[in-house]
Amino acid sequence: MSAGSEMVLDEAELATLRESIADVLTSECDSRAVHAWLDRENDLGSSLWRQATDLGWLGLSLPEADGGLGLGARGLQLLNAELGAHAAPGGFIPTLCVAQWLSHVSGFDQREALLGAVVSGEAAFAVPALLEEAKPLAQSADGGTVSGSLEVLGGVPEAAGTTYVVVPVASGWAIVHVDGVAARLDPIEAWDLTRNLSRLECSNAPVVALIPDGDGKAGALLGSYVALALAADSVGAAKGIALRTIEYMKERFQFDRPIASFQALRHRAADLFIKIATQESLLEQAVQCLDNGSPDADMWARLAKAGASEAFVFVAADCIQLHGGVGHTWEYDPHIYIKRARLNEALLGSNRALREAAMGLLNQALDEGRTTTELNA
Amino acid sequence: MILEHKDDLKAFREAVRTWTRETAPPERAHEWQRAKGPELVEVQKWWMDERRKVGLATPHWPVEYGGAGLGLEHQIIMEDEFARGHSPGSEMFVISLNHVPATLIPHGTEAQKKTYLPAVAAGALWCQGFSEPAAGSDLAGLKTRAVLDDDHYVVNGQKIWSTNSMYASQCLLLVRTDPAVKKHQGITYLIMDMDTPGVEVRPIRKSTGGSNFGEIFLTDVRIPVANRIGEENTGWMVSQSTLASERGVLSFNYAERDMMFLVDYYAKARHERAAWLDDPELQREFMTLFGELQSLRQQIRVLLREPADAPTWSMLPSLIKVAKTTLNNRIHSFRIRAAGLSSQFIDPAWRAPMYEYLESFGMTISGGSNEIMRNLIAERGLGMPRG
Ligand SMILES: Cc1cc2nc3c(=O)[nH]c(=O)nc-3n(C[C@H](O)[C@H](O)[C@H](O)COP(=O)(O)OP(=O)(O)OC[C@H]3O[C@@H](n4cnc5c(N)ncnc54)[C@H](O)[C@@H]3O)c2cc1C
Repeated sequence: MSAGSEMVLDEAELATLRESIADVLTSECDSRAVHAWLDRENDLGSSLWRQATDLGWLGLSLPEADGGLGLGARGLQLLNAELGAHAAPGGFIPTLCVAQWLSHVSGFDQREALLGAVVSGEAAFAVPALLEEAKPLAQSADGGTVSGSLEVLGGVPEAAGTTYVVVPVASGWAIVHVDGVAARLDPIEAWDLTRNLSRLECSNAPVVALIPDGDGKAGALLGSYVALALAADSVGAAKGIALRTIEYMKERFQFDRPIASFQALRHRAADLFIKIATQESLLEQAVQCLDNGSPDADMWARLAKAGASEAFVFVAADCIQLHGGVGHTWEYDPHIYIKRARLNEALLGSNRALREAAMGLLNQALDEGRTTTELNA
Repeated sequence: MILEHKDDLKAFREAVRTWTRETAPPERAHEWQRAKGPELVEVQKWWMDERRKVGLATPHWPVEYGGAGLGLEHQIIMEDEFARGHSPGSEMFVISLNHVPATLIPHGTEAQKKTYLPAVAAGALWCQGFSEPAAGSDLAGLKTRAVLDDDHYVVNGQKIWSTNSMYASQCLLLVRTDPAVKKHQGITYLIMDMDTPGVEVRPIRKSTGGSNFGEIFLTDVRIPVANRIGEENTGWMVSQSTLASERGVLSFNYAERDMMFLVDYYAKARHERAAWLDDPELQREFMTLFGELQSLRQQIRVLLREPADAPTWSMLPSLIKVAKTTLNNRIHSFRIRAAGLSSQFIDPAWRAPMYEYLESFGMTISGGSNEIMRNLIAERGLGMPRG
């Protein structure tokens, strides 16, 4: 299955786009707004979703034929890194990834309707929270309905609209419409208040569309998009909290000097960026492979998610310590990031399982006489 | 009674064990394990009352101040048995039981000892008001001002991070009495009644959303000169006794409970055939942590047996503080990964991994941050020049 995409913007244009996204988030989703969101004092989740719709973010990656900008994996990386940097609330990852996936898989109806509804902000998607380990739900004899339950990421629509869930079935992936009766989403209270997790309960829920997946490649591709988005979110968020922490260290005085002047802390700050840089470039490898339709994309995307989410945990944890007492409080930012980091780490599948899967893919490539390590020109 | 057996350590242990089992049966452990906030205060007060009835509240104190003059061996046995018996903890009384006597016995007046120590033995809850918004690691930079007015000090300023200040009856307070001299030389140590007019406590929310520490705002608070510990402007020296008591027996109790917890955790995992038991990466990580925790218990025993003037005294407490708190953080990080996604769901269960993980960051910061501890190890322990 090829995931290649048409790259329509050059580097300067991409940089401008990234800045424009960052500008919006800096003004709409700064620390103060996110804290108010955690305390249920604003509607940041839905206002951000509306903005994202109006500004075309939900279609950044989709092919132009589907009403998008055609930025592919690059678009997913760029947008999610900025959303992560600002700890933006919302179900962006599942919606963006499923839409991207639907634009690349085939053999099902409803493509136009579903993608159109995403671009216009009317539809949100949820995916199994542990996509890589999800067990198939039971299907009725004619395949028209599914039953069973599953923990999912995303779901509660940020804006009034429709929610669909991608669920695994024996023959592939079924798309189920959450109608509140045959298919219900019960929110799960999680530590990370910037994401939605829910338990999906289906009893004879009608299947809206079925994506056949005889060889598992379709599921692997969806996994790759989610892996890439989580990796981008992690890298962006790690950088975001590290930069905020360094700002704090420059302003915080102890012993009559900024704590940023203590060599022990300067080395720690430098180490954070060494870790982030490593993961940023591993992610770059995954982005390029996905956009080039490389057969190694699935391997690199999984390695990127494992590495980036672990680095994010490390960075966010160190940022708590570098803040001192205030880092342990609700009022400051580090706790928002450590919770997001721990969730990123757990999502999709354990990082141990993702690395094992990546090794399986490496072995397969070697058996086929293929090298996986060419750098793109 | 239990104290009758103090000369026979084996019998003493037996008696403590039996009493613990009868008074706080392990079958009821879920009651105190579940308690949070004011409920936890009640549980720990109840437990301290029970301990007091049999002379086990302050047995390590000198007889004249309401103790039983028992040695360290007895204290070790007690803490050991309390941990094994899954009895309620006594963390709320850490300041009352350790910091207060460690400060008052060497530096307090007879009148202070006679007033406050029996009260502590009877269950008074104290807090510590050292840190300020601008004086954390640099504690000696504190600015809360006390001005002498006849036989009172009039105090104005702000304290922060004071654990259990919202429940406390007294506070160990450091104030600045002389702003003109070098910062360590102008500090005075006071005992403050928390119900004095002008004292206002505002809880601070932690990363878990809960709150057990607070800011203390002080506006024209009048504290009698009789409540001064030591001479005026010797507070820094006195405070070293308070801070020294933060290391040692405290760590011992925690480490004992942590090992009990880890052993139970593993037994439960085996019983439930937890998925992580089949994962070699997690198996190895668990055994690494298990080994390090046992090592920590060994180190703490060495520390406890060491005379206070031993040459390693300056380094060992800091080594243990850093090792213990980072290990604790790693154990809960392990539990998060071993549990997988479900660890990220809010779970009111006792010691839920994510809750404990978030709490564990408090320990790497409080009581002298781990960075400050490393400075101490390098300078006092290893004789390296100051940076
Ligand atoms: C859970 C908890 C409970 C507490 N309970 C109490 C209490 O009951 N009473 C009380 O008085 N206080 C209490 N404290 C306060 C505690 O003592 C301070 O938080 C601690 O001393 C650090 O000070 P700070 O928070 O101002 O951080 P800062 O001093 O601002 O430190 C910020 C960062 O800089 C680092 N740093 C500072 N100086 C140096 C240096 N010279 N070299 C290298 N790194 C350095 C620190 O290690 C930290 O990483 C508590 C704190 C916590 C978290």
